[in-house]
Amino acid sequence: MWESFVNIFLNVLLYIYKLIGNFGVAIILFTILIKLVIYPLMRKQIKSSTAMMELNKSPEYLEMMEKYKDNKEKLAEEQMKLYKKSGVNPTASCLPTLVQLPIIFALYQAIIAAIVSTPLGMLDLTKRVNPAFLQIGDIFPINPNFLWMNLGQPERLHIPGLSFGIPVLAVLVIISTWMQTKLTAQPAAGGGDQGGSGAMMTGMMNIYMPVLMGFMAYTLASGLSLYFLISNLFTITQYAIEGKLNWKAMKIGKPDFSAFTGSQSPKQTSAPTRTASKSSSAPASSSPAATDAVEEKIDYREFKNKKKPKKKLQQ
Amino acid sequence: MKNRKLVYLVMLIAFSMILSGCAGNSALNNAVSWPGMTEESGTVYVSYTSSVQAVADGKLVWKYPAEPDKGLMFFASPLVEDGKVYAATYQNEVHVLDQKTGALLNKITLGSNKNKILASPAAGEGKLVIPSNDGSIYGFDLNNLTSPVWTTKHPSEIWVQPLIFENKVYIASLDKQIHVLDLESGKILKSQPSNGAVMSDLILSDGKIYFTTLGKDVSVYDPATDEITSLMTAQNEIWASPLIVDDRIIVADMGGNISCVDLTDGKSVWALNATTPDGADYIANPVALDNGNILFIAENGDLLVYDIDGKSVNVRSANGKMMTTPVIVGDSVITAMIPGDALLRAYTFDLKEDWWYAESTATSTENTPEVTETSTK
Repeated sequence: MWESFVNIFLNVLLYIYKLIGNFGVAIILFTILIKLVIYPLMRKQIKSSTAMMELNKSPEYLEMMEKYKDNKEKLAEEQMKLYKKSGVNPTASCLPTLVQLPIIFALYQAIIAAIVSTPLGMLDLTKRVNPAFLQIGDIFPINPNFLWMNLGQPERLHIPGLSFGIPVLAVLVIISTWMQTKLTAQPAAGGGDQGGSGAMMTGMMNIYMPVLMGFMAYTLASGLSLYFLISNLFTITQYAIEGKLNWKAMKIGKPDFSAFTGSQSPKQTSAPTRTASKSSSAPASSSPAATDAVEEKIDYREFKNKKKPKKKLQQ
Repeated sequence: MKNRKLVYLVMLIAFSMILSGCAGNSALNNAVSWPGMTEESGTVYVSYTSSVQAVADGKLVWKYPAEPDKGLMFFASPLVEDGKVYAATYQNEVHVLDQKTGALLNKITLGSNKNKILASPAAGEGKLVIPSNDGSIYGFDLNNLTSPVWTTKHPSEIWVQPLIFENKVYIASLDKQIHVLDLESGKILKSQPSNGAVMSDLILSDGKIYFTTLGKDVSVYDPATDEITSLMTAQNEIWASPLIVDDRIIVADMGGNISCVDLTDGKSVWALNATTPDGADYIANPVALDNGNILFIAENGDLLVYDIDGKSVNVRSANGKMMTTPVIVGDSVITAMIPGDALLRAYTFDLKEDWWYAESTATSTENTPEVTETSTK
């Protein structure tokens, strides 16, 4: 079952290679093809996130947050009712991410299967290629070289005079993953504790995802790194087209966590929270002055540990 | 909160490990191959994974290296020449061993050990030719292995043993080219396109070189005219080398179609379909048995014997995959298999089991067959 899934990827990838004659370009085109296929899902994700953000700022939601702030079970129940009533699926934003996981695994295996270096690998490839679709004799041997890279090996750029290779692609993957995570950060769904955990999760993603992707780009085949890079750039472009890029989040040293503060605002208790300005219908990012004013009051650490704001209040 | 943080971290690490695990499996698949096997004076020399073993009559004669060395991998068929065994490694080295004892006499190291030697070296007319996938072909004087006499750069990988004939080296590369090199200087004299990559040995017969390609083609290279002529096109890709018997050429394609063509007029003599129920490929070269019959081996371990007119004589199955071309020793045909219950299995020409040899897991020493005796007869 899984191998059949991988073989579909392999055959499509090799077919593109047969048409183009360059394996690197084939991976890029294949990545774009994959992203186009899951474009509707991504669009749904963006819309869902936007709807969640709007819902989290609605008076009805804020009132509910205040009413059930001491009963989390009831709060969760009421939240689900509200989501259902509003036609918002809080898990919709997870689907494109989940869909991409098997794609990443399958693509990786397809790349490794395509770039054979031994007779046994070649024999395996001949069994995976659909003869009605491709003639292995026409495309073999596959040239794994693209720019300075061997797409079946971890990428390093060797510069004369340097005794080590520079992992350029891994660096680009780290930067593009960080940018994508920051630029496409959406407000956390839910309120109260959930909002805090959402903020925490996003904060962790900002750190761990670029590191993880960079580590994989550093250690695994550069063909997969190319997929990561193109995939990141495509996602950023997609959000730009939808007009949902959060450019404010790119401010280094002064992160914009306005997106996460919606869940804090219902408390309306003290300085670290956003209050009346948050209840306006305009998105936080569309009101720079208000956002900046709030940002100055927010201590980032409070999203790491929700107990800290209390200490801050006592000061 | 801390627990949740831990869960996220574990999930990310698990994702990373799963992907890395895929890499490990793939790397493993690309790192191994099937055994390489050569016969000389009744002894079979088989290279497989981390050792080269000499086996005679089902008994181990010697094993090299004496102590297991996981840093070495031998898969190319050993070359036996003038009392020495040349065993190429996936670490870009050729270990020169004493044919009788397996003792290491010399070690030829070629550039980076990240490259492999997939094809067997070739020897002839006083020279040793080694193709490496580091992008070079090396020519050595057989009497002086300290440094190559010539090194010729080559843009494509070579998986097929070079053929030395009349002071020239014939090489089939994966980029669908047949090259002719001067044996003395290594200079490329001529390069010609072949209709597909050549995956198995070039066969010299009656002064002409026969080969098959993944492009379904069976061709002949005439050194006298430097011309390549297509003899026939098969229904499927061809991996195994052709077999020349008298004035006939016999070819098995990967789909199990076996064809016999008359070399004098190019007409088909007979054709049959020997597709196995599981659609196994034919990778091993067909061999002519001394009784005049022809043995074909399918990848799934099926052994099929036909007579010269294409009539089925015998069939049997072995418990293991067979991609290695069998060798003939006396009245036995010896096969190598992976992964099976034995490394070598010998059969009589009517496919009755003769003996088997399983690689010992015990630590062995050079030239001490009594320590690693694992065969039965």
